[in-house]
Amino acid sequence: MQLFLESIGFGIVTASVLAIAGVGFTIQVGIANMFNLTYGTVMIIAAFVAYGCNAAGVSIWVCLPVAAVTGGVLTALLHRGVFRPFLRRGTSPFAMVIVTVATGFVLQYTLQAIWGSNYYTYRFSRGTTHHLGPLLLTTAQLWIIALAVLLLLAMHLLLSQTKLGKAMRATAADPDLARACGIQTDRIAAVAWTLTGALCGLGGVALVMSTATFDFTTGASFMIVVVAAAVLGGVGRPSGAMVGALIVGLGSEIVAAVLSPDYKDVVAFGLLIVTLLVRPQGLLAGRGAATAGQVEVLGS
Amino acid sequence: MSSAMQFYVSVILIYLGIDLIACWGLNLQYGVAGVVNLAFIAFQAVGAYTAAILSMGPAQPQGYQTYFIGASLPFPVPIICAVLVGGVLSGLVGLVALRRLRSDLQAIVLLVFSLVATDIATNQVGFLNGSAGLSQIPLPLESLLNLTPLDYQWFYVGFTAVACLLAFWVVRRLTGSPLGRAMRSVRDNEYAAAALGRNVFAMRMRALIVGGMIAAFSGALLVPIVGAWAPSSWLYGETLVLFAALLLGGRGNNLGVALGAVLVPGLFLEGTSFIHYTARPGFIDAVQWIVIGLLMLLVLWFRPQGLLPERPRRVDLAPSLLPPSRWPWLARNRLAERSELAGRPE
Amino acid sequence: MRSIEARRVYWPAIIGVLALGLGACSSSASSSSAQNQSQDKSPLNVAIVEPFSGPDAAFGPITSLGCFPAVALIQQAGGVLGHKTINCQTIDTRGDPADAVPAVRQMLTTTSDLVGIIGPSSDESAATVPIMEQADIPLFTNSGAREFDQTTNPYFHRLFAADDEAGYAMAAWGHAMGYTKAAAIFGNDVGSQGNVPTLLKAFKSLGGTIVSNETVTLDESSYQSEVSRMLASHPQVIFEEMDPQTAATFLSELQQLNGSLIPVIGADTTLQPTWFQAVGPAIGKSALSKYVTAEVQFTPPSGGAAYNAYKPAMLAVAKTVKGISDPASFVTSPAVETIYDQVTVLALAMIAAQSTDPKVFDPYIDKLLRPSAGAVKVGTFAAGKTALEQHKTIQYVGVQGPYDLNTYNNLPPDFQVDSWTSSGALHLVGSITPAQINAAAHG
Repeated sequence: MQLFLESIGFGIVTASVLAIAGVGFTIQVGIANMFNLTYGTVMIIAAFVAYGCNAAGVSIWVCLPVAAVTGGVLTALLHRGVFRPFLRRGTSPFAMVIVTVATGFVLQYTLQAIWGSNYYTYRFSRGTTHHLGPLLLTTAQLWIIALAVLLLLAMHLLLSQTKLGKAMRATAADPDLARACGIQTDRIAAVAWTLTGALCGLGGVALVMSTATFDFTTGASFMIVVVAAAVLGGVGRPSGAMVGALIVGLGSEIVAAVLSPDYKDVVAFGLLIVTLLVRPQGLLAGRGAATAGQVEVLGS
Repeated sequence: MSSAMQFYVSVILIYLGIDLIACWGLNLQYGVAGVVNLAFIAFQAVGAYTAAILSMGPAQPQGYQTYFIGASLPFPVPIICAVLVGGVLSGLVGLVALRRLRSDLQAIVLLVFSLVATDIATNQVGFLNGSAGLSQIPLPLESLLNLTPLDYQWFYVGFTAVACLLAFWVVRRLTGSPLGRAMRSVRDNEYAAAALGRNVFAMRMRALIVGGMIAAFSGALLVPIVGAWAPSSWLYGETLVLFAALLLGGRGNNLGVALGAVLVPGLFLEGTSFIHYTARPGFIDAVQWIVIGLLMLLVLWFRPQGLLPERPRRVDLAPSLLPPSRWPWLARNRLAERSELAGRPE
Repeated sequence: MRSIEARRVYWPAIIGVLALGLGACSSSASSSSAQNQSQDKSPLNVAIVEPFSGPDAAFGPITSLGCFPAVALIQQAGGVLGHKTINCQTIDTRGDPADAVPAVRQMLTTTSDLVGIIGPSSDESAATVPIMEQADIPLFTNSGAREFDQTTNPYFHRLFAADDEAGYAMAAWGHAMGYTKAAAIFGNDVGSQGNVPTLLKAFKSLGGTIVSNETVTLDESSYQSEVSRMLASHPQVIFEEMDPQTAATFLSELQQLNGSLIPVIGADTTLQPTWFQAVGPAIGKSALSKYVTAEVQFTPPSGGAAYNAYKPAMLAVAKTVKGISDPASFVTSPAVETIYDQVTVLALAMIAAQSTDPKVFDPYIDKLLRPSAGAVKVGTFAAGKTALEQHKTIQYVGVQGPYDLNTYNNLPPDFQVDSWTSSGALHLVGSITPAQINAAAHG
């Protein structure tokens, strides 16, 4: 029983990292209607830049904005240079997946060719372990959860209260109609990509802070779990990504603790497949016809 | 040719043949029917594992490998069983994955199957000996033929060539048949095909199952020559190499895909092993993946139809059925496309 | 239309022909030099058959760190039988059997004057060892796989302890330290899993209980659930073998959840510098040195003529080897020292047999390694060469030796236990005698 309760704590930490990454990912799906599988690689590149900053003697928490900027700039460049030209051509959704996977390969293996397959560790203090009831969490983990909550709140406020956020939601829901209403969808999309890129960078650092060490392949395996969280909540819906992250994070940690750790990833995969079988539009999708941020998951 | 050279050339030819068969199978699934099977390599692995455990005999209790079942069946039976198991598992996967999903989500679902398969094979040690994999897999017909090792290699080259011809015949027949036309119609425009009465799910399922059987066949052929088979041999990246071959060569076109198989896994991946870059040996591997990525991007940008594009199929109608037109050749082409979409009832 | 398509096909074919031509040129260049019998004979080649890419990409560079210094010293001492140049050729197996087979076949085709093979690793040994044995070339594998525990092929040499022997050693040490409740945490890769069956069996037969047995998937972002499951069973000690990244994550989470580490008994990966580099910052170097010990095959203390000759050569090479961080820290690594010894004894065997034909000199490898009456113990190539030229019988002890092989060309079960100092050096803690191993195996 104690194991079960402790695993809830772990699940919340995993969910926090997933949420930061998942919200950015799902907004990209909503805005551009494509699954950007380069996301995991950009996460690790930002984490690597933060490592460089950390190795120069700066505290890892101060390096977080550096990672955010790296993620944002890199994602914006990828969008302008690679994804948008292909999208404008009308490339099919699956071909876009191939494009993003290929881009991910090029980026990841270029880094590997230059820096080799070493492991890198951040230098930061994890702080003491706190007993919050049955949960065991270190100071650093509490900070990660706090960061996740902060970022998610900020995104929520941005999307619901600000003009920019509303323009983003309009662009995601129906780009043509948004354009007809005078929204400059190109600029909005560029801003959205940069913002989600920043989230991607922060997610990468958060991931590595909980992993302890990383190399250039760490992002690829995390990618599918992010996709699972996003799909579970409903692609294109940031609130869905938060719920999905919570379910996937808690689910995999609890199953790993109570049943068997071998199948931690399989839980995430299983949730993804079951969602697509039973309710492909995701948990948070409304029953109505057009809900903001809804992305078509069915059909060819 | 020295015997070492002969061994090398024969191994390359065998691998090439197996890559050809695999690419034709994937072409059937993706090129012809539009099923984005990112789990392809897992089906090749299924065939390899099945053929292996059915020819190795049961696991010895004091031995160093553990696996389930195990039998020493004579020559074509392990391969036939591998093909059947490949077909059955493809069907099961298809029941889940071939729902009406966007092509990219479907691709992700199939990729997830590949990852789950790798997880199960690695972590369930009693199932297929975990990450160490199976080893000392016997060569088919070895004791019957009683050849020297080198002669056996050349025999196996011939055997693989015959297998290639068989696989080519199967895919050629299928792609040229009304069923092939129907699959292409589903690939090109799913809604129109459904409106015309095609069972989209059944079309895709058939493509997945037959392609899966071909994949398993290639695995069953590969595994005795390698002599060992471990999860590291069938990671999900291998499917992407085959996709690169398909995209470069020309998806939908069996000869194009064959060209892609020769160029990408054949020439490019194997040919670069001649480059000895002693300063940093792992560099070559990283560069290969970079080039595969760039290749896919360049092909999708400049020539998405591939080097040998799919030939547009013509159905010649009797002249009396043609409407009178100032440009008869134009009208005939349009009619041909329309009639191809409709297809003959099968 | 068709003619345009056909023309476009030509350029990849041209590139392909060029690539093959380059390959042919490089191999024909080396074979033409073999014909040249003037004052400097053709170079001899030793092939390093290891993964240089993929998850075990570190194996290749580590092996290079042993091979290159050896050939440097051999060349310094005048080479072998008139061949003044010895090369270490690197062959990337990519860590999986299907890719290793054509790579090895290609090596056998294109490498002229191939006198020995260092490798393969456990990732590809099952598929490639039969090929290399069939080619009649001596091979020195670092695969601990159980299937090679009783080989009879004369070309097969293994100067590394078998994985199941390592399992017995871990169990014996745990028992010697007085532990009765242990957890077994092993990575799901080939090398780590090889230790598990004998460890479990032996620890139980020595009277202990395995209270928790987890196979961990490598390189995950968190192992908190595995750690809590393990802690819930209250082990006194952890038997482990995981790659550096996994160990860093696992042990740091153990430290967080438990407040401190609990004693850890590892296997030889635990004593690799890369392990220290990854885990040290994660849990703190003082904690590492306090709690972690690991078994490794018997290593004579550093120092002595052999080590003093090896060390500068190795450090000079370390500057040029890429692919692992801080190669110089591997100078005391038992694995690197063993590989250095393998290449050196290979060269000495050629001199002892007065031939570079593998069929002729292969039996001399074991002769030079096994102790014999009246043999002069030598630690370096130069000393051995001098002694052989004076027609003395020698026993090559080298840096890591002596290598007292049994009838199956396997090492006797002689282990020691090391720990890390906070500065990253290895420190001898105790030893595990063959009698203890025997008790573990048959008790």
